[in-house]
Amino acid sequence: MGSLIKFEFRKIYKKRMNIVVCCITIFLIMAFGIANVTQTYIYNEKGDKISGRAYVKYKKQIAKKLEGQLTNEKAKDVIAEYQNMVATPGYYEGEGEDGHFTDEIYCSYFLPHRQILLDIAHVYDDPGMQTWGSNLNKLSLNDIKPLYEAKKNRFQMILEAGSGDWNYTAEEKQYWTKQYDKIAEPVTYGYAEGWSTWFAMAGFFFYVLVGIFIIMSTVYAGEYEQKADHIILTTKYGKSKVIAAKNVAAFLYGFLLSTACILIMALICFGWYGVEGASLPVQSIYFQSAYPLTNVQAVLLYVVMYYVISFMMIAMTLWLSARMKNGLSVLAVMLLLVFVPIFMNESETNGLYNHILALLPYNAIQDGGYNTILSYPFGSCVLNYMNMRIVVYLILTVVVIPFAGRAFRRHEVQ
Amino acid sequence: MKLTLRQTTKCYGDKIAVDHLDATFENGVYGLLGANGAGKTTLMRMICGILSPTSGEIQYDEQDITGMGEEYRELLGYLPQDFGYYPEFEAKEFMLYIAALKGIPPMMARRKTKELLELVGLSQVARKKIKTFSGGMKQRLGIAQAMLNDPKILVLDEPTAGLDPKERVRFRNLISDVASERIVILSTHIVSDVEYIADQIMLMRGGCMIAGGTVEELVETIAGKVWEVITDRRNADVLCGKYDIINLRHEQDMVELRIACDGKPDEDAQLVTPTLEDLYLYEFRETTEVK
Repeated sequence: MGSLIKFEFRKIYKKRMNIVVCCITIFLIMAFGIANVTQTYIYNEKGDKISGRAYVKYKKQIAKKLEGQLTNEKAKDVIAEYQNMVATPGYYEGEGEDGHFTDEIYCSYFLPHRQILLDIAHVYDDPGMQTWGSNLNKLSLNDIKPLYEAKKNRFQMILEAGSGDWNYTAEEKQYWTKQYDKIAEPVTYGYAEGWSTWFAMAGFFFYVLVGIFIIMSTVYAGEYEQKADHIILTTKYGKSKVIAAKNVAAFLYGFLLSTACILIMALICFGWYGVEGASLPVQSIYFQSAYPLTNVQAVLLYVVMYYVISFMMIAMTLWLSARMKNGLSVLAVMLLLVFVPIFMNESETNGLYNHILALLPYNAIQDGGYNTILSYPFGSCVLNYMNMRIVVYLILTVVVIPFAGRAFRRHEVQ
Repeated sequence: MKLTLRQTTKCYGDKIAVDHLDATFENGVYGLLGANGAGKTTLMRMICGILSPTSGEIQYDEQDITGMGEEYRELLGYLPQDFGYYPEFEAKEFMLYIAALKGIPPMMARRKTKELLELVGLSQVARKKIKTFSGGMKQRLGIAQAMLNDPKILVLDEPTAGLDPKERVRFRNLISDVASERIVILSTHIVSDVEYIADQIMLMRGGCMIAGGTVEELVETIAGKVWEVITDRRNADVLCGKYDIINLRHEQDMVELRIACDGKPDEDAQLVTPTLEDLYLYEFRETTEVK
């Protein structure tokens, strides 16, 4: 069996087309990753546009000033400072929604405080609304609830009101409330640029999935196209062990390519920005998140989910490859399956549709989904969005893969 | 050791590729002769279990081959008509891969690979990629892989296609050497390939077995029906219009004709000893182009 796996693996990696696709996939991940981190820019306190290593240095400076726990008191101070800035003559232009800081104040005050200001502001937004900080000036410091009380209230209101056309079941409400209660408050802030960048770039893994299914499309169909099936199927293990060997080799190749891309991405994110912030809560990036995880846990969980999604894509491709007679047909079907959902918009009235849409590969791979309160109730069992993706794709992998073997075993030469 | 086909039929829609065929194969070489579309390849694929019969059954020692699974495939060696290979593989690597598929232990696989590559004259290019091989070299590699597991049933579909005359002789000798303890079924258009080595010849047409037996038995069926005549062109045209011409050869102003018919076709005609080729051309005269 070991030697069969070795040969099947060799067949995959030696194929010229696969070498090209593999190189392109790795190149795209590197190119997108490097371009992203090197070209990200910010305006410093003087209003100069900075990027590259200067950007990293500046972000660390900003984070240093704001690091530590965001307590209720600190939140009030932040709001008070914001309101003072708005009230200071010459700092703010215009009124209300149309008002904005002058360029100088925007760069010297607002941008460095942007994340904490928007996080606090969003807590006082009505459920389902996002005012992007324009509500901060309207808040009465004497009347507003403390930050974390307001945050929990808002969270409960969202659970009661539902999202779109989705009404949370009692079990979901209970589940999310329990999850929420596990979050350490006050939330600790700090420099975590590497981790937030990881989530921002996670969508690039979609290209890895595409690369993987292009490579896998010929695992079985290639045998039919080359007419090697004539010989394989007449050998002792041609309808038994070779199927397991092909599947293992395909999963191994997919795993290794994925791992290479994950390592490249990790190297780019953490090599460029550093690994600081690993133990900070994921709320330091997604303040409203109800996932009681640290940044490193959140990223690792995403990686696990990515692997499971990639395994399902491999299983699906292998099945189609065994059923269809050529790799191009497999590619056509897989491209449809993967790319069509990109053009499907969320519904404003159909929550079930949105729940399904969120599970499709393109959407599922985009990020951790840690900033959403998306869950899937099955009676008394509730799965959050992350767990649901892992469970669904794992089940589909296990269910689909035997069909690949069955299709190859039953294949009749033409 | 007996391979039995009972009323074996294969249909593709309305087209019958193999039509209620009965046959029994025991140790020895069986040559399947037939024109394109006669059903030889379909029959061989069914024997190899890569195509299911529409009806009828194929048994090995009274056991249905479908139910035997690995036990049956372990006995098989198959060289398909269009032999699929992996261009990036080296010849040796390909042989070792097939050996792994056949469940041959690695040590033995290496030994058998070496032996067989030598036997088919590819030992010098064992480390070369198959994509660099000529058609004949690929065919020889195909023959070698089919024999890796020392098969009890060796099925060779057009094994001499692409081989030069010297290689064909070597192949014929090879088959003769290994045929004593196994069933060898080979198909070909080339009568001479099977004439000297096949114990039994089976003539197929339209999916049916139209004749079968030893070379002598088959040739006997047209004894007294094969004539040769050397005549002028005008008379040759007349004879061509009246009789089944097996062979035609121009000799300056004269034409030498080989004719199959019950009575003497021409005053100058001489009765000759028929050959298997005569029988083949006679049986397939409707589909054979007279040269």
